[in-house]
Amino acid sequence: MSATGLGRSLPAEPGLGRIGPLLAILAGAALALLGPRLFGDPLSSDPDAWRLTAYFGALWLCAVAVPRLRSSAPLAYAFATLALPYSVWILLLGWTATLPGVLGTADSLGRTASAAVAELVLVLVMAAGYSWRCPSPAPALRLLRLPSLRVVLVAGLGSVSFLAIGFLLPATLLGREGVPLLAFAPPNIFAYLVANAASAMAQEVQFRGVLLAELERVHPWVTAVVLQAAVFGVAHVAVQYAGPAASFIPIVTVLGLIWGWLTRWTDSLWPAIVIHIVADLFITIAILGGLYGL
Amino acid sequence: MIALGRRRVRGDRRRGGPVALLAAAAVTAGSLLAPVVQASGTTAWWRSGPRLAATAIAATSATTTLVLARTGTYWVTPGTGRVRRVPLGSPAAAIAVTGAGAGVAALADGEVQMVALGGLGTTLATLSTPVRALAAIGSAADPIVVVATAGGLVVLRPGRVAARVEAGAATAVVAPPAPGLPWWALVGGRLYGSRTGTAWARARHVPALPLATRVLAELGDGTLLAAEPSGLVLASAGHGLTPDLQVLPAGGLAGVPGSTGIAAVGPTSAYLATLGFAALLTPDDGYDWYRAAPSQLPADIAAIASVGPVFAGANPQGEVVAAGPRRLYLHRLQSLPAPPIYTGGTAMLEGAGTVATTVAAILVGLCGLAIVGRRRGRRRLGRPV
Repeated sequence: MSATGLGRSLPAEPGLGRIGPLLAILAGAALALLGPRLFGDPLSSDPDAWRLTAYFGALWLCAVAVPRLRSSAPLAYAFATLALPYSVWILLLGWTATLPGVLGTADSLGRTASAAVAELVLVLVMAAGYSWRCPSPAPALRLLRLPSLRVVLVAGLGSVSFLAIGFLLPATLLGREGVPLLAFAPPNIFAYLVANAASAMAQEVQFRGVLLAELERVHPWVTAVVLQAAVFGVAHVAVQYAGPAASFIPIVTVLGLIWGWLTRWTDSLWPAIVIHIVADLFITIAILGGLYGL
Repeated sequence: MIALGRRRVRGDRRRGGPVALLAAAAVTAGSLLAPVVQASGTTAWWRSGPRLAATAIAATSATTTLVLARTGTYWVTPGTGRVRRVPLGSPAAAIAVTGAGAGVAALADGEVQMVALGGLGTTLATLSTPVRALAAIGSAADPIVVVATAGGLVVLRPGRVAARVEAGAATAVVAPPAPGLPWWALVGGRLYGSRTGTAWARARHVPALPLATRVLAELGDGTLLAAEPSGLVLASAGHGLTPDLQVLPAGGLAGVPGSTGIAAVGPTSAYLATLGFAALLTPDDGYDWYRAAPSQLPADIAAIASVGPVFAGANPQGEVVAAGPRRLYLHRLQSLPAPPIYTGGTAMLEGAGTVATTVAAILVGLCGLAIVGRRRGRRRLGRPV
């Protein structure tokens, strides 16, 4: 690694030049993600997450090594923070399936929760690396800071508002027809809680923490919030693009905008984390089954 | 001239860079949306059936069933779409099918009559209390018919006197879907069971259900599903009936959509019909629930039933018939396709292509960053004099 660590972003420039590195990185990512779809069997097991991890990892290493590209290294690292933990999560899901009793659980829900916790740990480590090497880490990344009363209020009111809006919207728009009570009865609900909480926190640190902080170093904060929300939405297409989950991509993008703005407004990740956990539980329990169908 | 030409070319390149990046972004968005568009055009789950505004459909293992519509009672063969009117003297209140071309209709005036494809059969009885539901099994010559009436549960057999086996407001009754399984009925909100159809006993460890509960179904493995008017669906997982699915409010000021029927379609699968959420499907005794292609069904399904040998073997055959406001909708049951088999050579080629594409993507990304970095470097240095 160079003396500048992850590398240092250039100061803001007018015009499309500021967004150029982001578009260049995303164009390559699209090729890495979708290229094999042109010749691969759609029913075969497709290691798309590992392709993206290899792509972002290689991009980051090259950017650190080549002086001309060093300014793009933090952005490549931010994207690697999105891809690598997700790939590890998938790997752990498959690996623990062969180990009965891992972390005290042998069922698939327990495995999902264990993998989500491992993913969160890796995300936190990578976020700490970002904060350590970058000269001006975003205040939102200081997770250990005690939340202020305003942060707590925003988290609570935001969660209640989210649920209220969810129930006021037409059910057919969201696909929230019913709650399968048998599937979410104890002890399953505890595994769902852990899995969703860990996954939601990991995503907030990835998108509203590292990615938003990195984009804000180059773009005005409004642009940065919009860009991270767009990547947040596209990331949900990227990991589930073959299924009906794509129908909630616009909703995910809007949520990314709201959570990005909340993070910027409160200078804390906690409101977004809490609301994201509530949202994930609501979506998992009342929406996802209906959206996926069979 | 040469210098001017060069400058023009270099100027075009400067404008071409962002355009190329925007084009790449557009291609990316298009590529991401293409699978979604492709997925939306998949084969229809439901197909349109005969034009009948049905309010009840009889479940049967035969290929022809009875359908109660606003305009009368009809024999319907889902496989062919054939519809034949049953010449009943008065409107029917409830229907059931005992076998191929043989059924029972309870008329609004209390008369319970056998019906056949060729016309009307014998009158089994004339009941003095309103009929809510009926179920029947057996041959056309000697069926067992159990009628849920406002006054109790009544057993009817040809040539015998009607026997009231349980007193109370009976709201639902289901015949066993497979040999060896029991009958079930709801009387005064309590669950009753019977091995023979003639001797009934109250089920233990089952809480009282609301009196208005009318939806009851038995799956091929013996699991019982009941739907309350509040949107709570219960299943007999383990002991008694336990909460299985809570249907949520439709949104805004709309309440919870009512459940109108449950169609068992195999050992562990069932469709739940609702007035608002079309049909929901469980493949595993009520553990998971999914939407059954709502875009292909109207939101309001007044009745649902399975027609055909849906409990025969591992591969169910037959149709699920759902009643929309104007017509019937049909879903043909079929076995799942076999998983694909990959040869070593094909898998290796696919893997090599995947690696090559990833390497190409890395080069594309690096080239893009290099181009952008060069342009940014020029800006910082300023234009050469």
